Amino acid sequence: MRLVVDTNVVAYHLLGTPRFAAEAAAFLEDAEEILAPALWEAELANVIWMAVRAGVLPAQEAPAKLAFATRLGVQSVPIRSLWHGALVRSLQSSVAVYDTLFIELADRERLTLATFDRKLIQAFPALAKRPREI
Amino acid sequence: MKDTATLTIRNVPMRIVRGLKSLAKRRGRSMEQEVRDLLEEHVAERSSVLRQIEASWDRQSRRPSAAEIDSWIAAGRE
Repeated sequence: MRLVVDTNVVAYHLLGTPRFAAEAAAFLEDAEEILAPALWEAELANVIWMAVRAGVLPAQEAPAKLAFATRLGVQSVPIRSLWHGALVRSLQSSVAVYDTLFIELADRERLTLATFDRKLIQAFPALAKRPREI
Repeated sequence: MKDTATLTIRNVPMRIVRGLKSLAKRRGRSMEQEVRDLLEEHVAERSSVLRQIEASWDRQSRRPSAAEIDSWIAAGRE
């Protein structure tokens, strides 16, 4: 199955978030091809940095987490190819462009976005779903 | 249902074909076996990474909540 993934799905598994990591793992294992706007790379790196700052992760472990994420094979789609559509969606809704980039990619590719973001699922129910509901 | 299939891959660059032949020769295997193994390794890679990630949780002081991670994603947007 070809799907779009939100940063939170990768991040919850990468750091073992209780109650969500197993669901994220099952999704990531089943998906054959995973895409995301290139923004996910900056967001995930920021999560790893914040995890170090919060004392969750030793600094020496941070590069390994990034290496794991790289090896998941998520295909990064350039933001420039999505930003016009994402901006239009944000103007028509109360959802930030950071989030509508993911929605725009899913819609453009006729795919579903896997996300744990309840607000995003509520705003775009036809395109965004929880991993276990896909 | 058969559990194998035959793939025909067109327009493979000659440098890749030469590299595959050389790799197969070094390992004493056929090029076809080499391609099968490479494809299998690539597809199986994600499962292996997921298990390695799960093993890495033990090297954390704790497993952060969803709310914490959401705030860390949002922190880059402020």
